[in-house]
Amino acid sequence: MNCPEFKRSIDEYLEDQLDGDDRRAFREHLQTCARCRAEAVVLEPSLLLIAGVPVKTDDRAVDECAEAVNALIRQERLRRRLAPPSRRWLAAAAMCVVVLGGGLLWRVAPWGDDSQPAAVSVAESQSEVEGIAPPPRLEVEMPDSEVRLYHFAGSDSETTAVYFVVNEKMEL
Amino acid sequence: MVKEPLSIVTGTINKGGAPSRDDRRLAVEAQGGDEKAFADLVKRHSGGLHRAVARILNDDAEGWDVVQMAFLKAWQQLDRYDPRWSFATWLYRIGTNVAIDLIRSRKSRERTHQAGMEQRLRLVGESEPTSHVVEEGEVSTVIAQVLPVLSPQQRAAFVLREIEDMDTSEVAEVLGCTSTTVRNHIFQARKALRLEIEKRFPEYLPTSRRKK
Repeated sequence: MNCPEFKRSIDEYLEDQLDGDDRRAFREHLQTCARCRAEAVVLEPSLLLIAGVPVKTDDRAVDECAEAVNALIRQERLRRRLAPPSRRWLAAAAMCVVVLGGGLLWRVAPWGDDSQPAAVSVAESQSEVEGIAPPPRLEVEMPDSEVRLYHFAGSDSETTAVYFVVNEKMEL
Repeated sequence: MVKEPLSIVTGTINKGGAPSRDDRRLAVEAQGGDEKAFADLVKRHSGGLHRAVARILNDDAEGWDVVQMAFLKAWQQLDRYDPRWSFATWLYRIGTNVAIDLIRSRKSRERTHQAGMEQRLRLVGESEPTSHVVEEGEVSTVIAQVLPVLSPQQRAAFVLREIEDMDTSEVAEVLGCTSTTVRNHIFQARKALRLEIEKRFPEYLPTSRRKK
């Protein structure tokens, strides 16, 4: 775009009538021709704000940002893994089991019949037979980050979890 | 906060970067759990997104915080991304909303960058050689001082359309409004900027228009 074309295009640019190549050429001329820039800014001062030549973002800053995003995502993933199940739903489910189980027991239980043995849960009988706590379960493994999370479900607490964070960027 | 749903567009944000079709492929791979694909998207778009949000926020360091937050949100909501949309538009929408929320939350303590006041600018003038290219740093000084007069929406529209040179339709998608609304934001922004520049940088105006 030459200077006369530029001057003719100022109004069109301000009215958002320039598109594609014309718009690009207008902006380029504004950035490179000081005389036209001086005249254009007098007509419309806000054109001053688009007169700078964009500079490329520093590659190192981009790499640092990518690393930080990566760490945030891994942290979020760990947080999700460690988040306890929704207590409200758990409580509602437990209540349903108690009500339904109680009702069922009331209807089918042979009250007063001593000849029948008491009901024993499968889990109870199994734990009696085995007599040992289940081994820890590997929940998360991220070999690249040297992070492993184990879940220990012992007899004392079903929600006991022990996790090891080796990479300091993963610190919760 | 923007409420309207995104419509299907063919995005061209990040004009200097790779075609948006590759973005979609990477986004689909990321949806399938490919971490490297998502990391590629981060590397491809963080520079452009940072330029835009740092301008909107008027703060370079906060700009990087917002970029990180935007990518984390994008990752969290990746299952909601529809590959028919432009990934860049979707990402810029998330980033711009985070930036606008941040401006609103800090409105009362908007920073005024006084540091650049002493630096009288060589942006225009008859004495300059005709081929003089203006450094972005010089323009940044003016931008930093006058943009705070705009509302968050006006600021976002002006930065995305005028400084980042996005298409009006893309800006509308990012801001969740119509192209007419974007044009209106920019019209109002120009009006406010004109007054602010006349007040702060009268040397750019002919003597007859300078305020006494």
